[in-house]
Amino acid sequence: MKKKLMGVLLVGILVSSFMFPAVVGATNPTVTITVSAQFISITNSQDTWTMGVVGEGDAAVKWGSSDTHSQINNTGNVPVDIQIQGTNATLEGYNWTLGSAAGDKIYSLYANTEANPTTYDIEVKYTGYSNLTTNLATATLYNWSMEFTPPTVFDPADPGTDKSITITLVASKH
Amino acid sequence: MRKLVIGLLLLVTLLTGCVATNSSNQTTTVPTSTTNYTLTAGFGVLTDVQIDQAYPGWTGSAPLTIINGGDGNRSFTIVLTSVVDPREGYEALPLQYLSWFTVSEPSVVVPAGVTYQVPIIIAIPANNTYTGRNAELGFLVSEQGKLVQVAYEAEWFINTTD
Repeated sequence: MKKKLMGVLLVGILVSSFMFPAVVGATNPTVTITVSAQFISITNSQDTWTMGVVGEGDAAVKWGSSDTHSQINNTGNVPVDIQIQGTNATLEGYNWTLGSAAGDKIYSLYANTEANPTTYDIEVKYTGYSNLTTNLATATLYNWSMEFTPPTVFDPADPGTDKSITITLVASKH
Repeated sequence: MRKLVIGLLLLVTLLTGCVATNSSNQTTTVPTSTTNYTLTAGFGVLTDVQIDQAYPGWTGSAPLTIINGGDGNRSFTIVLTSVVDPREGYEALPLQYLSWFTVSEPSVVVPAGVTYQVPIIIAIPANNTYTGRNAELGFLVSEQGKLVQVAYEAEWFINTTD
């Protein structure tokens, strides 16, 4: 009886091998996935900006009371490059487009660098990214700020709705 | 008795098939070091994930690791991106091949102090001809809900083979 069963098993294995010849005989390489121990991490000290009421053609408004209002800290274990991007200002259909200069329903946003804290010359764009800093070493602080210029002309139909903007700092390994 | 024999035969056939199928799709994941990723504030993302010898027909998954600091729960979105400035020796993975990668959880909430792994599913089509290449792609991990938000681009590298 045992011999009979063993025979059946062997036959089964042989039949299986014939049924899956391509699989059993496959020589595909072993895919290797390596996850490194490098991690990106930054903190940014200021993440809100309550601008208050702005009027058509008003002068630029600075973020906070100093030109070094916010501070980035590289808390990861690799040097990083940091880029910045903005969005249009929207609410209830009354939009302000982010542009390179203030205009008709167009607002502008510029950032500064630690090297030139009073010069706001980094254009924050809606499409694409602008470099804020490169090769920021680990455990290093970096000061920065922003300057907002409202549109020169508002939508006459806009009843004065609040606008919401999102600024994104994108960090990547240098 | 005959039923028993037929049953055994079927069982052995199925088992052998399963084992054989697995052996044709081998993946070795080299784990990260034993580093303890502790962040007191903010969040972090592991970068530089390397996938070697991805061949036509291979499917597998690799983890996108998010480390949340101990200062609060955070909501993230994860988006596959094409890199603009690939690392030396690599090219940006052509757009038509980004579909090989699927983010299994495009939005996640990670509790404070938790390291969370989002599986990235990778499926190389059996008729792939983009072989023998070294390519780079990115995953943009963004924190949601703030006026000034932080995002990280995790860089992934893939080496394709025949």
